[in-house]
Amino acid sequence: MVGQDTDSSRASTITLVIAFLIAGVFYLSDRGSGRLLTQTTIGAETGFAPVLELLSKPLRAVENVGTGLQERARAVEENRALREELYVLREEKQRAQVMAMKLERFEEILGANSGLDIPAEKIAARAISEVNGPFVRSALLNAGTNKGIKKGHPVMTVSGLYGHVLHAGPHSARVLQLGDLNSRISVMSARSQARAILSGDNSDLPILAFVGDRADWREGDQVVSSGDGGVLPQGLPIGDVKLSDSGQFVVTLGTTGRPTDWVWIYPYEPTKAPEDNQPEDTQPEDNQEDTIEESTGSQTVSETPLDSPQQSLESEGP
Amino acid sequence: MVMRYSSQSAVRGGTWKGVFFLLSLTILSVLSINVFGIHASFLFLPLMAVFLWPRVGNPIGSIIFILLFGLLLDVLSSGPRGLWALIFLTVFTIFGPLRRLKHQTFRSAYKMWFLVLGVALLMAYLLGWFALRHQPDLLPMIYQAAVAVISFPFVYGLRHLARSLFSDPDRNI
Repeated sequence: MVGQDTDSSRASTITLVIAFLIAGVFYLSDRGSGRLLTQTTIGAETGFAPVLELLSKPLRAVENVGTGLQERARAVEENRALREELYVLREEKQRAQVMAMKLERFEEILGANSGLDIPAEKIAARAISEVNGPFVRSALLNAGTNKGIKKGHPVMTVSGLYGHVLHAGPHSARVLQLGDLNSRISVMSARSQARAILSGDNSDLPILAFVGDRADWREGDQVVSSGDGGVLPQGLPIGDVKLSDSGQFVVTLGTTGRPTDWVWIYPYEPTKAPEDNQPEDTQPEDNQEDTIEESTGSQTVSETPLDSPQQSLESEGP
Repeated sequence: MVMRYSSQSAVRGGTWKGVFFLLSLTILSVLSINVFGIHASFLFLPLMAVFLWPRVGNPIGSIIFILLFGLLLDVLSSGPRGLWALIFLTVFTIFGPLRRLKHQTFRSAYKMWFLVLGVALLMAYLLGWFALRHQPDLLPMIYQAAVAVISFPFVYGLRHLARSLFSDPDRNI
């Protein structure tokens, strides 16, 4: 009996040591085996998405009650502000229509088409789980490749850009929020068109990095996506510039502090470099092997940032 | 023979109770709520299930399930892989069922829970720092720990209720 207990105790100690080793290996190899981990992650998220969706419904209902009460409390004040805004916007709309007509005319004369980057199509989804922890800021959506969602697609809320799709499974997708430590988005000021990189730091106020000495950024500037690098469309609203206590420009995100329930995804196809679009059979035969290797290499480089939450979306500077 | 069978089924039942408890809290932990601008998430909740793991559970099965659920929480919370698995295993090793008092009161369990949270916070901070190569923001961690402190009496009460409803009163678990 005593022998049996000793054996059992020894076996459990060995199991514990092995379990620690497995966990340690996972921890240390997190970045090394991205592909395998991403597949496992997608599988687990897809499996748990229906349960999370079901359980999130009452929580979202409570959130909506809270938001409703808040909105009701300031309804009169908000109504007055909205009416004033409406008068201003009517005038702005008239001006915009005139400007659009002029722009169209100039484009006809010049034979150019500036167009809008933002796709007209939208894919609606619900954020069923939101993680705003010290290590990551992400959310799980209840729609995936079944609705046409792909890696890199921008995710919007009524308050502005929320993040981009990190990976998409058959029925779920993981979104990396703008405030995440690994989120890097190329942005510009809507007023001056000054460029910068919006760099998340796991806080509510991501910083504006790579701001040039002569860049014209001011407190209160509206920040929109710049579209540089062709990864995101130009003009997606993000937030407002604020000067931090340390004198650094930070951005108050439009989505901060608001419950996130319904979101929409723009099925935006990133602009590809000409060498990425070139069909393989057009390459000279003697160089084919090298070209394929190069092509695979460039794909790995461009895909790796999105394979892991520890990487950024946009690698190009402003 | 009958006694042996009964004891084995109790052991198996104990492990499954722990698994059910841990699974429920793991799913709850990845849900979050944002009311009146206050964002609350429950990431430390599953740690309660590890801390209050049934005493009669099969030790080997318990360790395997705790490892698997730690890895699952890492996946669902999008955090560094292996972080929660390491924290779970450490808490199970230090504060596991064989090391806690057989007849612990709520007060002693609550005191011990503060210690568990302290160890988990320290580990999460250091492991997170090493994994991300960036000092984690302490404030969200403290918020989450505070939520875990507040929710402990509810979870403990629910567990106590479930034990009194579903357990055989003659079996001293």
